[in-house]
Amino acid sequence: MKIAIVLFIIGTIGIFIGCDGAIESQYSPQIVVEGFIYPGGGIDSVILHYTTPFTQPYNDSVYAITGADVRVTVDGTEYSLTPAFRRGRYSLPISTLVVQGGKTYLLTVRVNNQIVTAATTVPMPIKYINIDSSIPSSHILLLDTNNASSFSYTLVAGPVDQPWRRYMLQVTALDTNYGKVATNLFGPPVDTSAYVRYSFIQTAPKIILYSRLFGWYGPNLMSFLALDSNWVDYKRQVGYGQSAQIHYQSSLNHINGGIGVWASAAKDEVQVFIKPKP
Amino acid sequence: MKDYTNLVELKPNVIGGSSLSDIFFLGNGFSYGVEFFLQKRIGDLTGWLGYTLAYTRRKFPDIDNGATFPPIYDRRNDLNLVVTFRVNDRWTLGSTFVYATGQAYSETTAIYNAEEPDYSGKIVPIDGSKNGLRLEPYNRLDVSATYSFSIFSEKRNAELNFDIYNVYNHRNVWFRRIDTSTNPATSEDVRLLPILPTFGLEIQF
Repeated sequence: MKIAIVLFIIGTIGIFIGCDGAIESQYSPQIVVEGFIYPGGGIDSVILHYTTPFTQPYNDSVYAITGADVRVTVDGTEYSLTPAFRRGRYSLPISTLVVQGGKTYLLTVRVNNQIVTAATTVPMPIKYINIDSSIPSSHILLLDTNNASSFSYTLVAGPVDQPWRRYMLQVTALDTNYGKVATNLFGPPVDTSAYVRYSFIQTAPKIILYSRLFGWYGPNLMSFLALDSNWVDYKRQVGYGQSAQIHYQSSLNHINGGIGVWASAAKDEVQVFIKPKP
Repeated sequence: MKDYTNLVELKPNVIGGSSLSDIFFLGNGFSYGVEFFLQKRIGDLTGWLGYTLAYTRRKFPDIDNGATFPPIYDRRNDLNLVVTFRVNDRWTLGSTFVYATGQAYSETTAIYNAEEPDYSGKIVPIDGSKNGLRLEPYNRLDVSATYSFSIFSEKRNAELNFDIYNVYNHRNVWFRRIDTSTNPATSEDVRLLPILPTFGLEIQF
């Protein structure tokens, strides 16, 4: 009897273990939307494509969505975007619609029987004020590669339209003939080939300029961005460099029926000149 | 059976927050199961068999649209078999077998290129359902032989141990990682230790 009970238990365990299986996750194509708008600008490019199966090589043109019905609605008026030259891009001429701060722009995409929607409320315009009070208008910033921490400037812009507003800098090298900034200041090189770098997101419109923002000496264009919440959440997903490996997170996605970003930012620009400290 | 409330799961890439919900997802969960334990303590052959059949689920409104999912440590089956055989006064043989359902993980099913203004973009992996897939089951057999002897003329105060960890050299999967720097993106299983013999000498004084 004892042996029979033991055998029964072992047999039952064997059956349970034999049934150990997996719940499969299958690829199903999703619509990816990418569009950024600014007050005073047009709707230059709404990018549409499908997600790529994990095992397939990424190819923008293969998965680009053509023939979509793309519309933007603001103040109750609907505008249709037209396909641009490049596959999967849709735009609206600035002569038809100029984006305005404080207004909400609803994006609607229809592809076959799928509908994707997203909305962004455009931040109010923002203006550059200064980079430290001691920096002359020539905006020459000295960078000592032997003492990177000494590079400490603060960029100020305003006004603040919402207390929860987040801010970011986009830095673009305008002329790479002045040479590359040494990239071993804080360990391994990061984004050495990129001409554009983004700062970390800041909570106040006083942005600390740190040396790592600048990949190249010479003239650099700094775009000061006051972000809507969609852009902030998107940035939290994609990170700050090619080396950051971050997964898509549904809680940070604000595209209904798809994924991606439909975001806006107010921006102002200032040009600086990065010079090696003698 | 047990219900859980006010469970937390860390939100990825949080840049700050003033309340718990700014930093964590909040949700509930439950688990239930049954456990068997058989033990033989008399005779030269001793040992025990432990087995647990369990179900654990989590439910967070902000994860997978509120669908239930298993936490990564959910184990449907967990089996431990330990056997010791006393050959004679000097030799003892032992073995341990472990089997457990594979760890739950979120499988990457797709990618997209996340672009930003004036920036060529980067590949972002998209997971399927939260912890919707299992790594292969974990299993391992260890064996050991112990020889007892005397040293410094005292009675049986020393043991020489010879153990073989993972005797059939099954490289269990620790976790699965993906690499989006290649095109196409690839995944790779990071595995645990292979067969590993060890010697030991234990002296009591």
